[in-house]
Amino acid sequence: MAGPQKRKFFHRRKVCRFCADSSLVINYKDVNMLRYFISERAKIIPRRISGTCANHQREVAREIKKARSIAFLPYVGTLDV
Amino acid sequence: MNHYETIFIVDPDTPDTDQEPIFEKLKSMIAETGMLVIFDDWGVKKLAYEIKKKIRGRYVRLDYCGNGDLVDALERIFRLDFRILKYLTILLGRDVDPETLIIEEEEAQVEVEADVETKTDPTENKEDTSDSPKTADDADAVDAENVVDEQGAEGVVDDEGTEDADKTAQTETKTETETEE
Repeated sequence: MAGPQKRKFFHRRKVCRFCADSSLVINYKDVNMLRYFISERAKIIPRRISGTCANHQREVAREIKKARSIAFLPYVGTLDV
Repeated sequence: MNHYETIFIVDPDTPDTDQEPIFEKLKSMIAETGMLVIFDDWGVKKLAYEIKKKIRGRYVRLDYCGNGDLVDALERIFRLDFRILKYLTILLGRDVDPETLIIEEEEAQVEVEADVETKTDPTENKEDTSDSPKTADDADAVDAENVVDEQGAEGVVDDEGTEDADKTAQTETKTETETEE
């Protein structure tokens, strides 16, 4: 679907991890898995970038917020974390 | 009865002799009106951010059944006690039977132990953990299954490989997009 102009960036179709593998459970105690969905500055990565579907993104965001409240994940991150 | 999970952080600088009474009190409170399923001590862990100037905390997880009044009472204790840095209670299920939960938990424990045994045994196939309850009489059958398992395992490994590649690809695209912005 490249237009008349040459496409500037190569876009790969992203698939939601949780839809692809239904055995994955999103839980606030699974910090290592949630780390994949936060940036270096501990921000939640938007779904346009991570590729997660709407339902699962909502779930991920909720679990990240739970993890933050019990100090598993930082609210504001630093570069070294 | 509802099923709850409470995680709380105890100040690690508190001497052990002071910490034990807190736990005992919580346990007895739960035993009065509810039922304790698991008392899980995760030990001292690093906190993601400072709480009351502490960078470390002792995490304890309580898995119990009870009603809302019990949660209120427990949280009241957490709030009043200065040695408890933070707590979080999550509702896991409504109208559950505590007996079945305890039985499930015991079964899970047994499974974990079986897994550990098979993993530590070098002669046993790693993929074989699901078949661990079988007796030695079934050894031949297990062997035959192992072959199948290996084949299946290869397929799984391949899948994982591609998935990993996808992941790295995703991260690449991600960084690209970020720089673009």
